[in-house]
Amino acid sequence: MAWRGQLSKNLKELRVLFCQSSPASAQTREFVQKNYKDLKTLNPKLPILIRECSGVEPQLWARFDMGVERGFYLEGLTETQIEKVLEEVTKAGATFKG
Amino acid sequence: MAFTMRAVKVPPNSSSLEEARKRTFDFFRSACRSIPSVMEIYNLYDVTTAAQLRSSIASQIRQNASITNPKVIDMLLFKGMEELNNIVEHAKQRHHIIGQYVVGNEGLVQDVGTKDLRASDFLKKFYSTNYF
Amino acid sequence: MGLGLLALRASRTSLLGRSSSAISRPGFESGNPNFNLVRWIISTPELQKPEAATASEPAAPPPPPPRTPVGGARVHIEKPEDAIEVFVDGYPVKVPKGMTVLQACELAGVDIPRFCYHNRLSIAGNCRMCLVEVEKSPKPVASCAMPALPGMKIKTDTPIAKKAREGVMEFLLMNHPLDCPICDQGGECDLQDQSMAFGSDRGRFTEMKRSVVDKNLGPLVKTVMTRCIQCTRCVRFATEVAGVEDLGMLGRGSGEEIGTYVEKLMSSELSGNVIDICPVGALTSKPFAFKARNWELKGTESIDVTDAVGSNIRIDSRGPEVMRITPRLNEDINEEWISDKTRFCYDGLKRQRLNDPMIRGPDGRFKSVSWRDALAVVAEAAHQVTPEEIVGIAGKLSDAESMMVLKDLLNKMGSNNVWCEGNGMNPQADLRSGYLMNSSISGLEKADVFLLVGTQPRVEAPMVNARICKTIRATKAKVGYIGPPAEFNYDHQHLGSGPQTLQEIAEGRHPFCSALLSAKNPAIIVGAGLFERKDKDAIFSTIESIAKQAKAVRSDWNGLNVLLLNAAQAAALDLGLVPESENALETAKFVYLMGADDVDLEKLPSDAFVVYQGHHGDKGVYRSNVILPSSAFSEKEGTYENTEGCTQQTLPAVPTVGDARDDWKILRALSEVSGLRLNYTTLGGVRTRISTVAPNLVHMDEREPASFSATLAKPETQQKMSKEDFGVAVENFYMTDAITRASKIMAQCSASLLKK
Repeated sequence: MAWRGQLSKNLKELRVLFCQSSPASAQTREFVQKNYKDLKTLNPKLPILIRECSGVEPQLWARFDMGVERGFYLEGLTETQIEKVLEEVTKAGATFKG
Repeated sequence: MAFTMRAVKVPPNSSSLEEARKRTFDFFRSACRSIPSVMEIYNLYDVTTAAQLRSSIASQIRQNASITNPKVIDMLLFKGMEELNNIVEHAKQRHHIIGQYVVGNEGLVQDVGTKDLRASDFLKKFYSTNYF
Repeated sequence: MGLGLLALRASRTSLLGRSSSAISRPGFESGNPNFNLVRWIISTPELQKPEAATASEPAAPPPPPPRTPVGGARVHIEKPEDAIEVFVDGYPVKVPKGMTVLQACELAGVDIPRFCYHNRLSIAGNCRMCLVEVEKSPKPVASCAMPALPGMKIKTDTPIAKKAREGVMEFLLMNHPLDCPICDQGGECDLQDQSMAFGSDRGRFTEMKRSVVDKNLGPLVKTVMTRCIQCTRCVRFATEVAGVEDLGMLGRGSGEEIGTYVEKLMSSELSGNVIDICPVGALTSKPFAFKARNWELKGTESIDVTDAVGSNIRIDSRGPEVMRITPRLNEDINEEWISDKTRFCYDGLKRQRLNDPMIRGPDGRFKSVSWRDALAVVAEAAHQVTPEEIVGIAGKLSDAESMMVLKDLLNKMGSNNVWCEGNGMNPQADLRSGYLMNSSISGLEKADVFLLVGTQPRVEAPMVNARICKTIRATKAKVGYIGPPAEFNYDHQHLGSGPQTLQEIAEGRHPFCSALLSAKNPAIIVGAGLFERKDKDAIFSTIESIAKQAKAVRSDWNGLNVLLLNAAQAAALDLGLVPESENALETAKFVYLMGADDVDLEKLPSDAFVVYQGHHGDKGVYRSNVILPSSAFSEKEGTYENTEGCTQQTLPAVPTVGDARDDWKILRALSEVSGLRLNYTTLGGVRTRISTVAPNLVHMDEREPASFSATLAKPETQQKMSKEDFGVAVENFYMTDAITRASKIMAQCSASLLKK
């Protein structure tokens, strides 16, 4: 899980958007519930914005340097798949830096 | 001459579009003929030329190019004649002429249009107004 | 009261009234057919001979069309067995037990005229305007004070009721001056409207009218006490809603007067509301006096930005000028009140305005330039510094759209140091519950114990304070307060003034703990003034542990609240306006102030280039190199999120001043001039962009609650609380931002109403 510590190096901001109640967002909510503490402890200065809004599709957005952003829809993904997405994003961020 | 024109009655309406068109050209000619005296009266030599004034008159006439109703054309011609009389009679002041016919509608700050060539639609609108 | 409705009823009246009295009469007083032959002095001819009406009994009246409740009134009956049925003018209507006759009539679609009755105040029953006839009652009854009973047959259109109203009206007008042409209430006066609808066309009063000495209630409320009809609404408002017992009734009979008992000003931050509830022109707005008539004004439904509550307001304008601000009904936020700052700050919109882009010349003076030149200079200056030296600060009045564009622009320039003043240098923006009022403003009414930490709601958010006050009046809830000595308008315990007290409560050593632990719905309200403290994380973790002990955060109740100070704060945190480094300002070379006036610019290096974009020439302008004029909240469409997380928007009421532009448009234009074109050009485009950052900001008029509480799973902080006491967040209630600081009325208020 070494990539987790790389998060704040490669990313400038991480946003997780989901609905408070819809079943489509259930996996995302679970993911946040379980992983937020760990991510925040490893990346204390990185803003991890958890934004909820009724009726919104679960999404994950990453902002890299110079205002470049990349977003993913998380509907239908399980927790492990979401984690995979985050890992990929982190690695993609490393290339942006270069 | 000018004062006698005031006494002239309103001419009868143009019977057709052709007649109205002919009158318009007559009006333009009479306006052009008075340009030298206007330049003299208002001392416009250092701000404009006769050619510029002529094109200014022409553009004002062209603004109404789409009108096809002879009655409306007659009315506009009458107004134009009034305006011409007022100018020739020295019923106006120099800044009226400069404001209306020399500077024109674009205002004092003339945009040469080279700066904004690459600007987007948004930026062009932004420079002119807040409401778009 | 809708006059159209009244007229409609008047036309329908005669038929209905006659038939119903004809049906009910025989059983009641069959022996005396002349019962109605009492001598009435009534000008309306058809009422003079009610017996004639009885005689010419019409054949079965046509069934009247069903009526809709007044003002869309709805009632939710919890238990069906609690509903009772009453008949209003013959229509059956189901109402819950305990409702008054007047409320039942409203549900049945009959608007009863009234002066003293106000549905948010206690019942006085002293104007007698709401008299209606109730079957089997010997006299007309005051409907506002009479509870509805099962099977009650209420008649609102009978000759008796009409005569009673006409009589009351005549008495009220006896001592009321006939000065409507010079009265500011003219056109929106209940007395005027109702005397047209229900009054007689002549009076019989020939003596001298009484006159009453005007009272001085301060710089906001103008009094013409001769016009007062002693409805006592203002007295009840002051005691019940504003929580100050300043106003009262003196004397009796014709010597009756409203006044402060001793010569003093009304010391409430809600005093402006007495202007709205006064049914006549006795209490009117002093700044608005003789300025305009209400029918000349154009109303625009908007949002207040002077505090974080987001009170719903209507901006009344005439041409390019804001003439006054009045409240709009919103049960969840401000009910129907607004604070004095909200109501009277509008004259600040006309003073100290920036109207042209300006550049500071080498001599230190500002020179007006065109937008093209100003933006070119700013773009040039931004290109000459490294990305880390660029800083953007949003002001306390900024809307969400402009903050979004500011953040996008600076991110594109490579800077991550964008923040909003008032949020501190190390804000917690991750979880929305960490900076919102989670129990919602209306939800505070369910709380039974309040713990106020470092917040003085009376000056920080008067509408929230009014809710707390209302709750305390209704349920005798307890209030504990930690912070510097402050004034409250309800009973409270001052527990201490700093973090030590907080520590004591967290460790269970404080006497207030027992109240907190035994509470069913404890509400902890933390002031946003604490955001600026260095030991903020430690304080918040202590508060969270208190909340955990008191079980303040449960699935059905979230009582851990933050009370924000400024209109922009919530949206700024939602959009992630978080500075990357805490010392960004000390090393900045290019500072973009978007209406930020309360930033400490002393720390700034002297060679820094400062751009001020804003609508007022306030503190921020003094240090700036370029001024870009923008529009104020009354001139633009902007999204604001209030302290409870409810998104609302302002609408333009008046045109912008001079050559000003909307905030987001300036930034968008700047992005293009500096070669970093942002890919949206319309407000809709900006909002679409916002929906990928904080989608709750595009759900207008919705409150989106936070799903994870702040206690969820934050990493523990290593900080220790310092011993320093909590400070005062708002020094002067009347002057907190650029608009209110420019306002003359607010300056007068601070001079006369603030205690030295």
